[in-house]
Amino acid sequence: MTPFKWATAVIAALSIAFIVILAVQNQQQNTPNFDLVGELSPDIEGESARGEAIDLDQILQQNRSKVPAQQTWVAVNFFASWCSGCIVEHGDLLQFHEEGVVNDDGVVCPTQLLGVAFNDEEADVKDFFDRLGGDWPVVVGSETNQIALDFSVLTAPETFLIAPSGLIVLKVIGPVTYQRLSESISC
Amino acid sequence: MLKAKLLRRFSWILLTATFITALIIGSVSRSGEQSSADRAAGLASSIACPQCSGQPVSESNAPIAQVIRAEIKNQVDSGLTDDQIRAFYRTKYGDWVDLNPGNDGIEILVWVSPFLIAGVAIGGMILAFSRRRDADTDNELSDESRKRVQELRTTYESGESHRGQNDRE
Repeated sequence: MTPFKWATAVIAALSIAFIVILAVQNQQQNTPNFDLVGELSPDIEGESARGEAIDLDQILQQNRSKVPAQQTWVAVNFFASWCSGCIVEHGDLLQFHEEGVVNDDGVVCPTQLLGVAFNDEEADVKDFFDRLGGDWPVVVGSETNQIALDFSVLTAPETFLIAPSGLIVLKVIGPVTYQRLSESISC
Repeated sequence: MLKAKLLRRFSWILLTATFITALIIGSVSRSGEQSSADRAAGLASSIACPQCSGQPVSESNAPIAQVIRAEIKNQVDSGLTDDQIRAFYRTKYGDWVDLNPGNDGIEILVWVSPFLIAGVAIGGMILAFSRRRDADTDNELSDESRKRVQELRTTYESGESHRGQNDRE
């Protein structure tokens, strides 16, 4: 066998080994829990479009001094004025915000709806609410990018339901319905 | 003959010098201080958009790519290192979003294998050329050829001696 043939054989063997390693490694890569369901919620801190301070951790802290029936469930909704799915789900969110969730005993479970603008301008967010209604707090501004990444959001709309303990119990990608939210809440 | 040998040696020296100079210039210009915008642009071109298939966030118009681009700039401005920023996106969306292979474990092969393959290829070529040159210089004449050379030499020498005698006469 000539040196050229040896060199070619070695290069071919290395190339094949390299491709095999890359293929195998692809299957072993880190795959994070995109759902975040069962994990503690990342914190949400920011300012609403109306200038109010929003702090998810504070809501959860207050839960600790309350009996379970009075503890607040938080629904975090990532939305944008440019997103058609957000218009579709808006009526259900309005219902959730205005009616809350009533349990089998007829007791209203304390709930809080928090909006987070996803890749959107504050003026467009205000215009969106002026057109469609709703007055729940919505985080706007530069903090929204960090919050979206903390929740591993890919696009809008996405909604997370956070139990009073701080654990995420539901993640909905795409338009959320009042029923999906209410059936996951108990008090 | 000597001139050709010198010229060949000079061209090899020139080639090696060019290669080394290019390496030095390349490494020096990279190690210089980068602006935060350059760093952010570099990171954005080596972090994949999680919603697209392998496209870097710098080239994608997906909303999440725009969010990541803006956030990379914030992270660079807030003093995070490139490694910390990459680690953040790997944690959030998986290792696959980091388009730059790491420099440990199996991923080191990505950096090493080009040099390994180039080394094997160059080594093979050098070996092949040197063998061919040895084969050219070590060529033995066959018995038949040697006999023919001997005959020609004898004929030439006898012809020379006859011419010498005639000249003297």
